[in-house]
Amino acid sequence: MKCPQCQAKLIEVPTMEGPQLDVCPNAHGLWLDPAEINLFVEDYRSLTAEVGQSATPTGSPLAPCPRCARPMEHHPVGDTTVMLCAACHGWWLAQGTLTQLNCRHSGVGAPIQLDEPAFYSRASRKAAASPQAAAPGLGRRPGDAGSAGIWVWALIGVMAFMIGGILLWSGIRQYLPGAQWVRRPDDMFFYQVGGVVGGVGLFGYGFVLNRKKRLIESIPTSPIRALAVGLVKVAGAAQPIEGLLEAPFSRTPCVLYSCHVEERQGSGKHQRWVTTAKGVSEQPFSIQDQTGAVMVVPFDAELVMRVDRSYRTNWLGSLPANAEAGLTRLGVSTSSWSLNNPMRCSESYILPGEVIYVLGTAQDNPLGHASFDNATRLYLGSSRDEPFIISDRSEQELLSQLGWKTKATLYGGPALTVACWYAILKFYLVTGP
Amino acid sequence: MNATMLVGLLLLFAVIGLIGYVIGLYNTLVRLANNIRKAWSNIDVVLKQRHHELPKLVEVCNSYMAHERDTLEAVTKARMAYDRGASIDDKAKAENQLAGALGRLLAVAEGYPDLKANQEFLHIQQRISVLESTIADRREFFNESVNLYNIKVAQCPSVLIANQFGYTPHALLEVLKTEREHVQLAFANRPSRT
Repeated sequence: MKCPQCQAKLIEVPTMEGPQLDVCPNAHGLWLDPAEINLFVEDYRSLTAEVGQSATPTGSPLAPCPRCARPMEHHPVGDTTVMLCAACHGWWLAQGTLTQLNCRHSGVGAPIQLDEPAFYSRASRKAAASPQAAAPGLGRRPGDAGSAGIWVWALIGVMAFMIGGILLWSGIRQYLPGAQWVRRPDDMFFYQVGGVVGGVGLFGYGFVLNRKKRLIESIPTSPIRALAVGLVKVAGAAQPIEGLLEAPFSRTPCVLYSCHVEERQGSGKHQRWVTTAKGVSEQPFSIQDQTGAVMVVPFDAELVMRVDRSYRTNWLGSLPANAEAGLTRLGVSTSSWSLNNPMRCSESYILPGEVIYVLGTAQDNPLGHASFDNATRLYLGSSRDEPFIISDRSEQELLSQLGWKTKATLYGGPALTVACWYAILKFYLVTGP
Repeated sequence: MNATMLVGLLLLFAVIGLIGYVIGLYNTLVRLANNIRKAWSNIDVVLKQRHHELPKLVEVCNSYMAHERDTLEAVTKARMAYDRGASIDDKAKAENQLAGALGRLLAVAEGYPDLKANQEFLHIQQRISVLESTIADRREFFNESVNLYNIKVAQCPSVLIANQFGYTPHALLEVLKTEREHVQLAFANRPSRT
């Protein structure tokens, strides 16, 4: 609600005996709901009779109603004026009006005696103590006062960008005309060109990671009983719904697992680890906290989990028996292995009762029965536009991990670009005498 | 690589990085502010669910508590005041009054054994109890959302962006002093029944 005179947000000030009243923080007046006027005016009936007979003087400006913003009607009452809203029937009384109304329409005594000067004094003290008392509210739109500053900063940013571009271009123009190839481009040259481009890509990826980190930080952890549809963050103990699973290599009973199989391929200095198989269990499980439990469907989830078991081929080129059995269960053929193809297998799992963290989208569960419990009718799953993370790490660890990755890409990307560019210009292109 | 080229390249990265950082901060403030609105709306949803139970509760109680007309009417009036409320503040005020009236009604109902044995009354009472627990949780969640927003608005360097775009701290949901007094009075003034 806003003051019709100065548009400041009305503040609530309690009266000594009765309800709280909405008052302008700049002491322009107060608002009374239709059910409140009879509490503060002694002879309410004669007042309403007089108001009903008066009419809005022509030419008087129509102030907007604080509640519904429709134009209010002015009604002269003796030496003062009251403003009424025809839509919501509330009263706007300028400072001092209530005292005058009680003088004019005195009766046996109003249920609540309001000392206006003391009341407005309390209101101004409360307004001074509250930082948002006179503020227009939560989040002004751009275009209000302060947008001029935005344009100044935007202009400074554009100018700095242009100066940087001009400097770079002039440097290139200074350097390249006299430059000569020292040696022909080889593999290292193309790697360094890749480094220049990759550095820019890493820099951009840093903003993606930063956005993800800010998203996780900005969503508070919700009790499961209070879940609502949309992106939510919960923490609790994982529990099975339809029985426990078995991790593929170690056969540990768990509610969720993921596994990774890699093979070392190539020769000499071109060897690299190539993923040959990976798998994630898709059986739903539930997460439970002190207030309730909700189903989690792990399909398409980003799993951030510690590696619980890992196996590598030994010097004879063979894996432990349980790892080979696990590969067979996963459908990975082991018949074409050779001593030159080392393999490594890793698995991560979530044990029943283990505390996990889930950031996902709460959606209506089509199989959930209609019940009192909001959590029963929802499940946590993936959605097209929002992240879906299941982790056995705490939120702090997750944010810490994202934090250093963000810094590494945001600083490392430009450093890589500059270093590779420098190497290209130093070893492949030199300026003439 | 000469110094001009190096300076130009670093300046470009710095400017792009700074612009990206500022945009990220602004988007975070927008998200935090909208989280508060959403958290309040989610409270409103459960409050409406509770309000739909109230006419049934009053009807069941009416047949047993014919002499407690004032207590029953207080619940009805508070519910109507909530429906009429236009802003968050109006609804919060009406909700506080309704919570007090409902608390008094349930406290008075304790003195009617026949009513307490009525299955429909028990069902509605349980439903309201579950909803009130959910409301309490969502209020805490609302306060947590406001807390995150207020921290972000006050921290450096986001305070610079917040001031520039007019993002101001938001009030937490607090229990009114009058509501605490009502709870105490309800138990103190409850008539003893034999």
